Parts: sequence; C-alpha cells; structure tokens
Amino acid sequence: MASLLLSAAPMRRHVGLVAGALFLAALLLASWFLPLPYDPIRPDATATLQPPSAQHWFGTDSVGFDVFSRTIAAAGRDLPIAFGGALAAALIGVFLGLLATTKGRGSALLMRSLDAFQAFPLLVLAIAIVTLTGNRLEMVMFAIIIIEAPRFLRLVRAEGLAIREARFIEAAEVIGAKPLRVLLVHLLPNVSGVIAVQLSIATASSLMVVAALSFLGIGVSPPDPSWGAMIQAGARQMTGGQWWVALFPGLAIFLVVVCLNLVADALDVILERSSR
Amino acid sequence: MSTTNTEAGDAPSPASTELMAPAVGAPRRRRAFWGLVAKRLAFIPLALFAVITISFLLVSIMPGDPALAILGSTANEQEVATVRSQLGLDRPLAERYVTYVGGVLQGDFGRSFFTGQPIRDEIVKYLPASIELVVMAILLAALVGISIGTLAGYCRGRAPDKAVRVVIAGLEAIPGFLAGLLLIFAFFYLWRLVPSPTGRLGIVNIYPPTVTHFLLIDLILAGDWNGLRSTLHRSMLPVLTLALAAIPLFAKITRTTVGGAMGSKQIQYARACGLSEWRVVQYALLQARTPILTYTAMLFGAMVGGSAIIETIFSWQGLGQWGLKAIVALDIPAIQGFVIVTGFCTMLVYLVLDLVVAALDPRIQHG
Amino acid sequence: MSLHVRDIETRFRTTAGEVHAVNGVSFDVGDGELVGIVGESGSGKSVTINSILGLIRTSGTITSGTATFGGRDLIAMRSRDLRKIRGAEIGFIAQNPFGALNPVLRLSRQFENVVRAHRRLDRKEIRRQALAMLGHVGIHQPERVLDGYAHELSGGMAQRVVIALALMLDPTLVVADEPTTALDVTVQKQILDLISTLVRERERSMLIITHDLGVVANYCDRVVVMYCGRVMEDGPVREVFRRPYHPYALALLRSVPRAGQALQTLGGRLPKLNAQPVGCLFRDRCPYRMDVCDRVTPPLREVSPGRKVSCHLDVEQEVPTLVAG
Repeated sequence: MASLLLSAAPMRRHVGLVAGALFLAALLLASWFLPLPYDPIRPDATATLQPPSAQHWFGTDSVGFDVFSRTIAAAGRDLPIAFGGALAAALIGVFLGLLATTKGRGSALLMRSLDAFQAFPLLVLAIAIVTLTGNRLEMVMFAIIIIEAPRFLRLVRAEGLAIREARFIEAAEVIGAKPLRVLLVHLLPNVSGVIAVQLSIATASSLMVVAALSFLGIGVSPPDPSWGAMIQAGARQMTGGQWWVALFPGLAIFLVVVCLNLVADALDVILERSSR
Repeated sequence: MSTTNTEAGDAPSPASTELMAPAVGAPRRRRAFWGLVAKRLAFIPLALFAVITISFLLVSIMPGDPALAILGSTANEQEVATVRSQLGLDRPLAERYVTYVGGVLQGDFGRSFFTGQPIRDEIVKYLPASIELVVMAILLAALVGISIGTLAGYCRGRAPDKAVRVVIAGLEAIPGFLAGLLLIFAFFYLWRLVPSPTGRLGIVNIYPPTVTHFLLIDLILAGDWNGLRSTLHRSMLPVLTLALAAIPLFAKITRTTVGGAMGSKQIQYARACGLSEWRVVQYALLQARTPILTYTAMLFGAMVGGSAIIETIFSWQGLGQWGLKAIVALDIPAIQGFVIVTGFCTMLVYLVLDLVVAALDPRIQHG
Repeated sequence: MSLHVRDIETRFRTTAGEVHAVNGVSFDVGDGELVGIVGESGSGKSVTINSILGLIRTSGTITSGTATFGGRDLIAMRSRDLRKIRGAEIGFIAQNPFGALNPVLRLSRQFENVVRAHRRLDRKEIRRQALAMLGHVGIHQPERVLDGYAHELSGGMAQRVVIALALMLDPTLVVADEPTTALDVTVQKQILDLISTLVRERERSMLIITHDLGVVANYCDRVVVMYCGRVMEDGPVREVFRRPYHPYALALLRSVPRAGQALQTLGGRLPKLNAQPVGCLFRDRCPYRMDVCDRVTPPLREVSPGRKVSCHLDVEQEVPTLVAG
C-alpha cells in the first residue's frame, strides 16, 4: 500500500513535466513548420472584426488579420526571445552567483549594490532602456537580463553557500584544489538542478516582460505578430464586445506560462527526490 | 539594507543562568530604535544620489544615440548635431553630470521637450494619482492575499490549500494588462456594472479645487460626496486589476510562512495551553508578519512598473501613464524625472517598512 | 485526577512511507502520583503525550486507543472539548521556553490569552493572579517580568514563567515534556525541585517525559520505560531501579555512569518502524533473544503487584540483577 503511494506520486509529476514540455514543443514547431490558414502578416481588409467561425477559428481583428494564424506565428517570435533572454540571464547570473559564494569584500559589495538595484522598479527601467536605445529587439533581451539575472545570482549564491558548508568542498580545498576548479567542478554541478528549475520560471516571467513591452509597442516592428502587440490591438475592441482579438493571444500567454511553471514544479520535485 | 536579526521561532536559544534584570531593556530599546531611524534617514541622501546617477547614466552611457532615436534613422548629420547640442550631449560627461545633479538637487528636472512644462510641475500633478492607485491596490491585495495564504498555510496539504494553490498558479499566469481588459469586458461591456474605463471622474462631475493633488482627499475636503462616490466607482476596476497581480505574491509568502509557523514549537505550545484556533492563527500570523512586510517592500517596485501599464489602459492620469507617454515619445528630461521619482519612492518604501519591522519586533537589535 | 492510557497507536505519513511511531502504549497516572516516562530519543515518548493531548499534526493519525481522564476519553473527544481541558485541567510545561513563549507579545498578554481561553476574567484580576503565580515560581520582580518580553529573560527565569503559565488555572494534571533539557545543568535541579514541590503541595498528578534516569530517580513515584513506541517496563521507581526486570531497562540502568563501575553501553540501533511491527522490538539488541521473540509481540503483563513487563522471559528468574551484571 505504502509503496504504491510512493511510486504514484512521482509518476504524477512526470505527467506534468511531459505534458508541459510537449505543449511548448508543439506550439513552437507549429509556428515554424505548420502551414497556417492565412498569412499572419497580410490582412484581409474585407474581413475585419469577424467573430470566431469555421473560416477564422479565432476571428479577425480590426485590420483584417486572422487571429489564429497570428497567435501561432507569434509563438515563433515571443518564445525564443523569452527563452533566449532567460538563458542569457542564467549564464550571467550563475557566473556572478558562483563568484559571490567566495568570501570577501567584493562579494559583500556585490550583494549590497544588488539590493539597491533591485529596489528599483525594474520594468520601468527596462522600458526606458529599450526605448532609449532605439527600440531594438536585442535590447529586449538586455531588459530581460536586467530583471532576471539578479534572481539567478541570489539563488546560486544561496545554494552555493549552503553547499560550501558541506564536507566535500572543504576536503577539495584542503587537498589544494584551485578556487576556480572548486567553483566549476564541485559547486556548479550541485546547483545545476535549481538552475534548471529557475530557468523554467525565468522563461515564464520573461515571456510576461516581452508581452508587457510589446503591449506598449516597445521592441516590436509591425506587422510582425507578437502576443503583447495583438492584445494591444484588441484592447480598444474590449469595450465594444469583440473579445476574441485580445483573448486568444492572452490565452496563449496564459497556457505557456502555466506549462512552464508546471515543468518547473515537476523538475523541482524530481530533482529534489533524486538528490535524497 | 535589511537589518532584521530575528531568531527563528524554533531555534533553541542558549539558556543562561545569570539573572538578567528584565525590563531595563525597554527604554534602551526605544533609544536604539530612534538611533536606527536617524541612521536610516541619513541613508536617504545616499539613495537619492544613487537614483539620480542611475537616471543620468541611463541616457548618457547607454549604447545607441538618443538623438538618433528621437529623429529616426532618416535624419541627416546636421539635424542630429542640433539635437545633440540641445540635449547637451556634445559636452563632456562629467560636466553634464555635475550640471544635472546640481539642477535636480534644486528641484529643477528641466522642461519637457514636447509640452515645455517644467518636469517638476508635471510630477507634482501626476504622482498623487499613482500613489492613490498603488496604495489602494496594495491594501486590497494584502487583504485578499494574506487571507487566502493563511487559509492555505493553516490547511496545508488539504483541499483548501490545493484550491488556493490553483488560484495562485492561475493568477500568476495572467499578465496584468490582459486581466484589466478581461475585467473591462466583463464588468463594463457585459454587465454594465462600472462606468467606461476612461479617467477618474465622470463627465458630469466637476473636479474639486486642488489642495493636496490627491483626488480622493480633495473631494473629501470639498465635501463633494457624489464626486467621491463616482471616483471610487471608477477606481474599482483599475485597483482590482493591479491587485490581481499582487495577490498571488502575498498569498505565496503568507502560505509559506504561516504553514511553517503552524508546525513550530510555539504554535504547539499555544495549543497545549488550550488557546482557541483563532488565537493560534493569530500567533502564526504574528510570526509571519516580518517576512510579509519585507516582501511588501519588494513588491512595491513591481507594482509601480505594473501600474504604469494599468494606468494607461484605464486613462488614470497618473505618473505611470505620463511616464510611459514620455518614454514612447523619447521625452528625455521627463524620462529621467520619471525614473528618479519612481526609484526614490520605492527606496522610501523600503526604508519605511524596514523601520516598521524594527518597531514591531521587540527582539531586533538596532544599530 | 487520574489518567488511564490504553493501547495508543499513532502513525505518521512521510515521504519515506508510513512510520509507526507509537505501537500500543498503556500506562496509568494515579491521583497525586508523579510518573516519569523514560526512553531514548525516537522512542515515542513525545508522540504519546501529543496523541493524548490532541496535538498531533495533520500528517499523523491515532489509529486506536483510549486515554481516560476524569471519566472522559480524550482521544474520542471532539477537538473543541479537548481544547478546553488543555491548559485548564491539564497544564503543559514545554521543553524550551524560548521556543514556546511568543517572542513578540508581552508576557502579560500571554497570561491574558491563556486565562481568557478558559475563564471570563477581567484584565486586572488576571494580572493580580499572574503576579501571585510568578511569585510562587520564585520570580522576584514579577511586575517587570510581566511587562517585558520572553527574550529579556534568562533560560531559568523563562522556564519559571512557563511553569507559572502551566499552573495558572490550577490543573489537576501537569505534563512536562523534557522540562530541563534546554537549560543549564546548574538550573536544572532548581527547576525540577520547583515543579515537583508545587505539584506535590497542591496534591496534583504529574507526567514527566525525560531521557534522564536521574530525573526519574529523584522526583518520580513510578517509571514507564519506553522503547520504539512500546512500554517495556512499568513500576515503582525504587523497585525498578533496584531490580529492573526487562533486559532493556537493565541495559538502560547499566548505561548510567556510576562511581567505581565500568560504564556499559548498549550496542546496535533502533529498528525501522515502517510496517506494523511484529514480535519484540528490542530483540535485535537483546542478549536473551529467543525464537518466540521474532514471532510474537510480548504483552505487557503484571509480574508482581504494581510491576508490569513486556518480555517473553521469566524475568524474575532469567534476567540478572543490576549489581551482579
């Protein structure tokens, strides 16, 4: 009885991981390879603000864009930016975080300045930076790094400090391992689990940032589809009752974020369990 | 920044034999607290300085040329040079920095490129509306988030906890602006429960004489109860929208800390003394108080960013909407003023909550 | 008032499966009696007490047993009714006063909260009684203590406050869970003297949980020896200490340092309690192990008036005496 319960719990977690990952992969592959019913960047001026129907599954917007085609196509833009930004933030944050596990004035100073920096409304800062540097896409990534990298840094530092207390690190230092070697060979593999979990969470929150920026028209070049920009296009229609223009891209964001958090939860449980 | 030095409720304290005179701690504690206040107040100029510097660097050492960004890539060199000199970008960095900091310290944030108005006047005009929005939203989010978080933490692992976790996960996955639009669709279009999401006061209402710049307070001072009702009615959706984004954060931190407290020796002892479950929950919340307050400060920065977008959706006429407009229009003095004010406000909130935490916890050692 | 505990079983669900923490514990605390429960850590002493007082957390369940206190079964009772007994009729003294007392409430508030959970009294009256009680437990400046916080006290004083809180409503039974473990050795005796004196002069009953045989020897009338969630031996302190019957009790007493004698330690470790245990749980560490010990759980039987042992041996004949060993 007890053993049955035990084996059932992680199975359920695997379901979350597999379902979440499959949905994300399917969405991404569809946006790249699936023949879409309509051209996502060429509107049909004769069919504006059509409600969802057999012709237009998600309806059309005020210009005549097919909402379904654009919702799928936007995944191919928004997801790579969000993931790329999160990955870059991870690389920088993990590197600085590992360095911050070493004792000394430098690490204390780093944490103090991080406190001050994170006290800032970072989304506002990100918006200002992207706009001032000419509204370029790569600056959206930079904005994501500013927001997400400190979180990786804190996480890796906290985990790293806990692991440093462990015997084997002490042993490695006693037998004369170089500090860099200790960081890369002994610390990094032991924090890789939490990094993977955080990467999933960070991708979700980067997607929200990307959506917020493109909702404000920042970092997008029309008519390229982006979920945030599509919601902006549907914002005016909401008071008139044409809910579909904004709802479907919004639903896409919702589902992707839920899936990413599902993956993060599952990874968390699986890695935690295997390490004990 | 944080000076909280509390012991976890469970940690076994070293018990010592010496009979310390007990209550001499009280006046000494009070003196130490005011010492901490003084120390924190001394920190304000430093924070202000840091904020001004960040806002200056934002325009000055960012990759890319603001002048080019303003004019677009079609501009010729002559035009770019003109704008650069207007912005003062042709002068050396150090000189510009000194001029800028000197100006800001005298309350001179420059004039808007587009309206020609002094930035300071615009800030005074728009900031109060944003404060009203954020404060109302934080209060609502704290009320709801702490309530459901307490419920979940108290019933950890059982049905109410699972339900709250689903709600949290759902709310976390909805971008604030989308939630705002969905609420507008439901409450305005479908059910006609709220007036149209434009502005803070109905067309028939007259704005009260400006006294404090806080619309709600000015309406009360003017005794305009109809106007007050109208404003509150119109505040419902924006406040709810902004609160929805913060509810999961309050709920999560409360769930974790209350859940942890429920398993603590302190709560077990409270139960062993026969205290009612209400009292037990109150004790658990007392334990959770410090983390929740610390977290609220961190949340504030996120709320300011989020409110900028929500204000735009609802035409709230606050600092966030004004700042976003400035950013999109590349109104550089306005952007700098916006960054300074929002950054400084967030730091002030950190400071105040730090002091509140210190004042509430008798165990914290000040200094 | 007397407490009669019969066949308590408590289990916990953990990530590593079910743990059978308490496996059929029975004992009695008579009127005016001071009973000590001894055992190693993990022997189920605290879980037994928490089961009786209804303080088991959600991961644990009491699967069987009764605990009759003044004619009422505490286990079957509704939690609302049990709450009214806790603190009022059964006083509780916690192990670590700093872990137990609320760090952010003034002690006066904590006295008010405890009293008001059971009686309708006004603040002034509660304060008057609290001051008197603090005086009884040997606190010299009760006013100042009452208006201060727990962390301003020394360990000994904080524990005196906990004792005052436990006795505030004049309970008929006092339960003390390792009341001096967290304190300095020099204070331990003062605190134990205080508790036992207060309980004895009020003619109340008391249950002390401890891993310290010295505490039992000096302060208790009867001792209950627990191992792996079962009672191994139960009897008057003088008799059990002079002539333990159960091989475990014998080993436990031999592990106490005595002048002029070599210290004996107990080999082996505690068995895992993942499934419903069968047979004697001490058998792996028992020098007198027999075939029957693997198959049959020894019942707690009365071997002489007032003395109970759960062992298959004919203990009076087959277990050596303490001195000879």
